[in-house]
Amino acid sequence: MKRKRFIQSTLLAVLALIVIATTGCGSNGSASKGADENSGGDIGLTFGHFRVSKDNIDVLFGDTLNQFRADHPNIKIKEEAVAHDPYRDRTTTLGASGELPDIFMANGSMILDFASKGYVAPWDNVIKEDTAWSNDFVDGAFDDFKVDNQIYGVPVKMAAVHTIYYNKAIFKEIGINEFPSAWEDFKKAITTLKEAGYTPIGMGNRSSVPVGSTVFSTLADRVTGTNWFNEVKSGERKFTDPEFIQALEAMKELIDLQAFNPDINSIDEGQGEALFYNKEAAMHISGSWFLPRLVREAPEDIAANTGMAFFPAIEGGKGDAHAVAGGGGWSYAVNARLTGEKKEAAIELIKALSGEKFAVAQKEISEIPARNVANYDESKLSPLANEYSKMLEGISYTPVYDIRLKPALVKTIYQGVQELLIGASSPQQIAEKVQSAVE
Amino acid sequence: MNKLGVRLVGTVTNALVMLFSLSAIFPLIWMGYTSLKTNKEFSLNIVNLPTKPVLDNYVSAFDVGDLSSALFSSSFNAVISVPLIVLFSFVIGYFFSRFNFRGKPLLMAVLMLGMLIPVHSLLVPLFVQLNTLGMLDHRLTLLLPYIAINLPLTSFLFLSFIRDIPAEIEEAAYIDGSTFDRTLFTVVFPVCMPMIATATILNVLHTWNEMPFALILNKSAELFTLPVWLTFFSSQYSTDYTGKIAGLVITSLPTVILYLFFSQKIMNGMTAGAVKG
Repeated sequence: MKRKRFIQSTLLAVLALIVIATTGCGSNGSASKGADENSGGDIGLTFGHFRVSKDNIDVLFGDTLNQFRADHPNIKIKEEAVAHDPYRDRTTTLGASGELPDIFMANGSMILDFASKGYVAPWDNVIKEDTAWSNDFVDGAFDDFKVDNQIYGVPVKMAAVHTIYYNKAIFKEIGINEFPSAWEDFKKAITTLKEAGYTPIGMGNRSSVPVGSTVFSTLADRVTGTNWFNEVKSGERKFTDPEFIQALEAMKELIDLQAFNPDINSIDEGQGEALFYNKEAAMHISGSWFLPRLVREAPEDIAANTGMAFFPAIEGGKGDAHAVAGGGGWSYAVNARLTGEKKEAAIELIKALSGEKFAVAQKEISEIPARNVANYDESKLSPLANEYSKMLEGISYTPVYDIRLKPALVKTIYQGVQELLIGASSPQQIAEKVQSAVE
Repeated sequence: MNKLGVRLVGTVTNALVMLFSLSAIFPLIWMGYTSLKTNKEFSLNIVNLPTKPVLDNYVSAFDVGDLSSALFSSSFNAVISVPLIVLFSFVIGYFFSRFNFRGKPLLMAVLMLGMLIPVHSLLVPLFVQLNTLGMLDHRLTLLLPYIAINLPLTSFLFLSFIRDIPAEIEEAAYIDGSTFDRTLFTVVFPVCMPMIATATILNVLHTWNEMPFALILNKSAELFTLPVWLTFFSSQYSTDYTGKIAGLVITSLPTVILYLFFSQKIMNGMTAGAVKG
């Protein structure tokens, strides 16, 4: 009997201990948080971000944060950091329960969601007041974070979501010394490459996003023009318009020429890159993010022979050829519940992470900052990165489908492109399917 | 002729089974040698052996995030929650298999539901619940969810195992004057050893590998467990694959060792229910 009671009480005690310890300390935590706000001197801020790896940009971010801490000893920043992919899941969950950190990184679709729920604070006043900080941002940098003409996020950086990386040695071998600047010449080059036994464009598209995002977003804009996209987004135009069908047909022209590797839909991005590294493919299409990886990981003769280009203009198309799909992607957002000196501290921190000094440092590690920078040290960039940054000067950014459109619609378009790749659907069928997804 | 045929069938079967076990062990071997490659080699070919093995990945793994506190958090969660899961499940399984009481079907249905609801649909409600109770972001936060989530399966394992133990053993103990508790813990419990080993390894694996709760319910860096730490090898656009694989070797080593240590007992546990003694 004694033993029974002993076991029972031990078990109860263990469970009770867990509950009491967690709740007890939990309330202690919030009590000390309150003390932070009242003591006047210290301002506590929580910061959700995904800069956790040892990548250059993540290290730069950490250094800037530490510098800010040293400069503002009264601002106590508590980081809530996890890696990029889990960060998205985590932030979506936190958003669903309304428990977002004071400052956090948010992408375009999160901003769309959180702004409508009133979780994020608008930036328009700050942008108007502090022109010294806000004037130098790249044109269209804030576009991805606008909801009803209010800006809710400060872009972290810019990304070009389309770049053709091509092997100059292979192009020379088939007698092409310069990357084609007309659509017909580009198609001819593909035929010649194919005849010479190369895969013209090697990519992995298992998730349907790579081709949709890095090939189709830009190719479609060449045909439809950006105006059409904005009108279709506001509902004035339809995906069954001739513009969109022509865009799909341009894509089909490439497919009919067997421009892509036949197993494109069954391999992933890394395997697609390997085709380019192994000289099986003459071109690889990816975004600006592929460049640092290429410099770091590609065999030396590949890196030395790599050239970069964008899609040429398409005859009869309405789009600008000096444009690529791209934009801010991620932004820094401030929680709408912040007020007074806490809010000011948060704004100051974000300015430090998006100011001139940070942008120059970004440029010097081969990133594309969200603001125009003139005085940076070119010698810190690899030759390829220098060449690339010259290519991007004065370029305009057109909408990336997967950033601007609703997730379900994006999925329909990108899977349509995937079907086009294996010849399972015609452009007309895909356009109708996409339009019915809108309705 | 007949003898030859039997031998032939035996050889073919053996060869097939060996192929299967090779396919099971190969990922481990692949993980081992890939962790010695550089990212350059890895991006060219993912299957090749390293040309000149390097230990850099292991050295640099210690610079990513905070490995030692992740190791501690994971071990802490497993060491505290697994014995409790095994103990509770043993008692639940015993009562369900030996006694009939009012509401038993209902209780069993509730327990069964615990197995049917996917973890991801529990995330937001659990987060809100623990948030209101002020139980988030604490060293002990993960223990209760881990215990609760693993109870159903383990209880059913014990239930079916204990059902096959002849009740005469317990009756003999009662005749000798043993109390109920004494019978439960000194007679039935040791008989269940194979199932206890199985349940232990199963639950250590579950708690060791658990990711969604560890990611959402805690936010302080020192409370992150190994699966969360492993994601720190990826930045927005690139992943340090070979570094991550070295990290995988580090995180899976304890469970592999534990499995080797318990494997004989697990075999017993797996077959114990099959033959009635």
